[in-house]
Amino acid sequence: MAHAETAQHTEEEYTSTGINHRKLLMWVFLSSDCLFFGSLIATYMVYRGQSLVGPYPIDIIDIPITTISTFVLLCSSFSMVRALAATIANNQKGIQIWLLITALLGAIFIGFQVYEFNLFRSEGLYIYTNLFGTTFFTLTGFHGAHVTLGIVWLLGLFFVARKGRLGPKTVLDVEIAGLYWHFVDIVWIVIFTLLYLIGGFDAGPTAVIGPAPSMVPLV
Amino acid sequence: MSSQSHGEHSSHPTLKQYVIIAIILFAITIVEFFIIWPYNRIGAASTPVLIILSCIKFAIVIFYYMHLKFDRRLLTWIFLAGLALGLVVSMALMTLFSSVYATPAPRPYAAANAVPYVHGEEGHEVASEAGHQEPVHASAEATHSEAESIGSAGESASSGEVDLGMEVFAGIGACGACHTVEGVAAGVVGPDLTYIGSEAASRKPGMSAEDYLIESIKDPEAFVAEGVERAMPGLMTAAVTSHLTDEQVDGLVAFLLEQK
Amino acid sequence: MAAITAAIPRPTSSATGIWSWLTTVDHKRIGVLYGVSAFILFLIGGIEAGVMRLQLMTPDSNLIDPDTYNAMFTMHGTTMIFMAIMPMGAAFFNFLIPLMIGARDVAFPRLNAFSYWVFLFGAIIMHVGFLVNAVPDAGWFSYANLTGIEYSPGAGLDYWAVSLQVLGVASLAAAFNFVVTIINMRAPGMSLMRMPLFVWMTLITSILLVLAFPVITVALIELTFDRLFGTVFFVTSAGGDPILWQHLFWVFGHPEVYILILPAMGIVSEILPTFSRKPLFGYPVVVFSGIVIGIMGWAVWSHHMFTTGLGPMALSVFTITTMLIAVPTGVKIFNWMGTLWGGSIEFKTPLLWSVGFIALFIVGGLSGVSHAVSPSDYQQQDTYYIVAHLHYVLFGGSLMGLFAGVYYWFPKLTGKFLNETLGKVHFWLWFVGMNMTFFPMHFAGLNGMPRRIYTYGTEYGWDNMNLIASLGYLVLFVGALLFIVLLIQSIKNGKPAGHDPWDAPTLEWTISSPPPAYNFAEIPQVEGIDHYWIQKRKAEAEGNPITGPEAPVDPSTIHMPSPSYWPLVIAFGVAWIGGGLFIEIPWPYIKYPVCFIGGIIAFLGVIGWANEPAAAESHH
Repeated sequence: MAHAETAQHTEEEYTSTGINHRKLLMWVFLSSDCLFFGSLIATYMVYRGQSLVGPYPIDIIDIPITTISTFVLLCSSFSMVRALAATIANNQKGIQIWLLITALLGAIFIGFQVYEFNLFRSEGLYIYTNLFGTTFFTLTGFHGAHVTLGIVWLLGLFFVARKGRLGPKTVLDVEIAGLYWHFVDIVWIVIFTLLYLIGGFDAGPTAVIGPAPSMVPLV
Repeated sequence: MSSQSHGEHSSHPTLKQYVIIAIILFAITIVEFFIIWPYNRIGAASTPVLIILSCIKFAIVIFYYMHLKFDRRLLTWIFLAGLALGLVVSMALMTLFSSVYATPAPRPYAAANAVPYVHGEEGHEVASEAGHQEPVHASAEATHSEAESIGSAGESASSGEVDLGMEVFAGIGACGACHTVEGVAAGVVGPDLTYIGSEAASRKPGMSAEDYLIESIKDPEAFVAEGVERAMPGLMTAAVTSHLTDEQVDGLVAFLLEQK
Repeated sequence: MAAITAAIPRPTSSATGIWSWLTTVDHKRIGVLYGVSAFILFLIGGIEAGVMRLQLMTPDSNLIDPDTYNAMFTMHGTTMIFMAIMPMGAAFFNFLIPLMIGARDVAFPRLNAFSYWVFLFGAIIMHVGFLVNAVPDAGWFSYANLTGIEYSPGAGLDYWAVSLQVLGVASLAAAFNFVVTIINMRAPGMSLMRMPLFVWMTLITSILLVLAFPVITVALIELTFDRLFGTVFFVTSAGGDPILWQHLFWVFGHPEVYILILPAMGIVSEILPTFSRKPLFGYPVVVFSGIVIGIMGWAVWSHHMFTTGLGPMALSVFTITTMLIAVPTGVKIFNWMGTLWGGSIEFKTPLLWSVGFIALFIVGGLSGVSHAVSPSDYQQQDTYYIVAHLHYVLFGGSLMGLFAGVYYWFPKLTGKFLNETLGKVHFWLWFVGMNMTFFPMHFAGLNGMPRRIYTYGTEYGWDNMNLIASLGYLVLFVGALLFIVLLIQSIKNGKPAGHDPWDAPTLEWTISSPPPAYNFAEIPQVEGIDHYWIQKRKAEAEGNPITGPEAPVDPSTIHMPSPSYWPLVIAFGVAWIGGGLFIEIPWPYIKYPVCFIGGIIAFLGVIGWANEPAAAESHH
């Protein structure tokens, strides 16, 4: 989000590796964020099947709905990539449209999360109900917070684009926002797989930790 | 080593390539969805398969969308270092907490005290507290048969009380988590019940075998027979079995009386 | 949004006074800020130690009550680790790294300033507890579930958790900065294997920080959620496991202790060559062992948990990994000895401190190896034997290494020497005092004296050991007072030091003392590990010896980042995001309005920052 002149100035700055400072910073940050989400995921995995009271995942996890929200997020990664391409190509309209679409898709994803959280709460699962509620809401909540910050960032870029300040000279600004956004998407890929596709069938401590038994109807 | 401006960007994938990548990601997600819904079609293999498919999606996004394939190697090393460390630490924690190394699996306290969630009963009660209306699922009877089928481990339900009792023992009652009955369960936390059928009558003076068993199930703390070994006093409380219906308790008693 | 910046004018580089310090982005000044703050907090931590030693001086003592004692050991540990040693290290990173790699500043000067202010606010939050009689008192590692709302209902633990979270933000911001700076801003010719060893250790420490702090961030989130929002992470009645806290804490905690020691090792690795007048022995091996320590430090954490019932498999694995990690540490020690061996030794004060570091660190390392073996740790855990170990490595190790650096680089910072003779007296007071205080603890611990007890009966036979330890504290206290006196005296009347008082090999000595704001008039072309020695020997051989620093130039010709108040604003906002958790209102929509306001302030600050160019005037 830097002033165009400054961005140009820093992009021409000497670096020992040839990688721009801010880009290097973002990758180091993402590496560090792996540990953050890794710890939250580890907490969830350690507590799988240990809740003493329900609702348990098998009772309320809704895989179809969440698959749709996963698609939404995947689409937003695609639109982010288009936004970066538009920036490189100096397609001013394209930059604005694709940034806005990405932010919108992110917002829709958050909408799905909010819907799901409310659904769970209506079923009696609160963050304080049991280990499942605690670990689930904390992990997905922090992921949602990351997404929300990303949406704010993208909207900020959108407003900067409206002033005509995004273009081939300021590709880095869009690229770095893109890195963050894609990272948030891949964290969701991990969460979706572990908490929904695999963990969605957990049913209390007497269940063996593992996949759902075959042929047990879920509907 | 001059600074980079857009030299790297010339190796961006084209729009067509990006669309193909997006389609691949969608396709993998669809495959994952159909593996697991509406029921698990591949059984125990689903966990490794899903993990591998997700890793593929993960790698595609990182290397193509995040451009890591075309950037300097250093960035790949930096990211993979954090990723690998996060993975190793998570797996180490999971191993340290797994039932493979811990005391009897599943954890006896949790197993003994866990309350199965029942739609239509508790769900309805809690839902009404929250001010919402209907429970999402069917009535109590349907859920009982649901619970039975989860607990029956493949066995079909038959009419005898003893059979019901065995199902409850191994399933929804979670008795086998702590108690041993040879041929049925091998819990090591609570007293061995393999011969309880012949011992029950003499356990508590003045109480019939049947009444003793009912009391032991519904109110375990009321009386502990002499010489009975307890791994940890106070583990089995009335709460452990409070979710069982009278019919299920009768079945358990009938089953246990058969253990001679 | 430029309007925000226009409302309050951006300070210029010629600003003076308090405002110039509040808005500085100059790494040298930020280093001073860190150093001064860390030293003050070190004194506070020292007072807390003194209260404990006074209480333990005699058996059955009632000087302070048990609750106060608990607060003392909690605050002493927390303060010394997070608010004394770490920021002292940060002071060195800040001041030295750009100078050592031939750069004019760090990669992100405003982020650097931000990290200092957040650190300061975090330290303040931690100590607010004293003002409201809610001091953290569950130990510096605050094990669950003692720290849960059931057993620690007061606000003390909230202050601990929130402030540590804020301090974590500061550490992370600084570490990100140094990773990028070291990787990306080295002068031409300075390949990684030509970097001064202190720079290497800073790089490894920063990478450890960047990877370890997220783990404690999560642990603190889980603790805070348990206390504030009723979650059940560590609530046993819901199936939660307090051991999870221990694991998460120590997965962070063990890399943390390497974060604490590696900078001191780096400092010592700079000082020994200078005063032996020969290069560091086995430079690549020392680098490599530092890297190995950094990596292996992730594989040993459960040795802090040997007595929690991990099971024989875990015990064996962690015993082996912990014993293995002694190897690279030992390698370094041999390399240091190899550096001194055959050298032309000048026993100036910095060298004295460095040799003291090596000796005391070896003692701490030896007791450490005995802890590594889990069966023997069963006897040692939670006894004073561990207290002895940790103080030998942290006081005899980290602290003395850092002070070696203080005496070594003070002339570069100020252009004056710290009084050489008094400096040696300071060293001996601390060396003797430290051994008096902590050596008896080995015996007390093996004799059964547990940690964290506020008093003990005379029948145990620990009286003399505790008496000696407490008397040793008094010696340390005198030493600290002496240092304050000599510091003030040296700042006022110190013997002038030139640009290169020690005839040292690294880049920071090529420029004047104190350095000009722009550091280097001309970015050097680096020719080797000991670049300045190479330059000086070459110049001498040519008959044209180097007698002065690099010639100064008109500062306005060099494009430097401009001061900024946004780092302070954002830090203020972040502090209130944390502090706002103490102010809860019953409105269902926003229960923590101050957090929200803090977030808004931080957000506006970020917008202001993003719209402000790194340097005020463009010179195009």
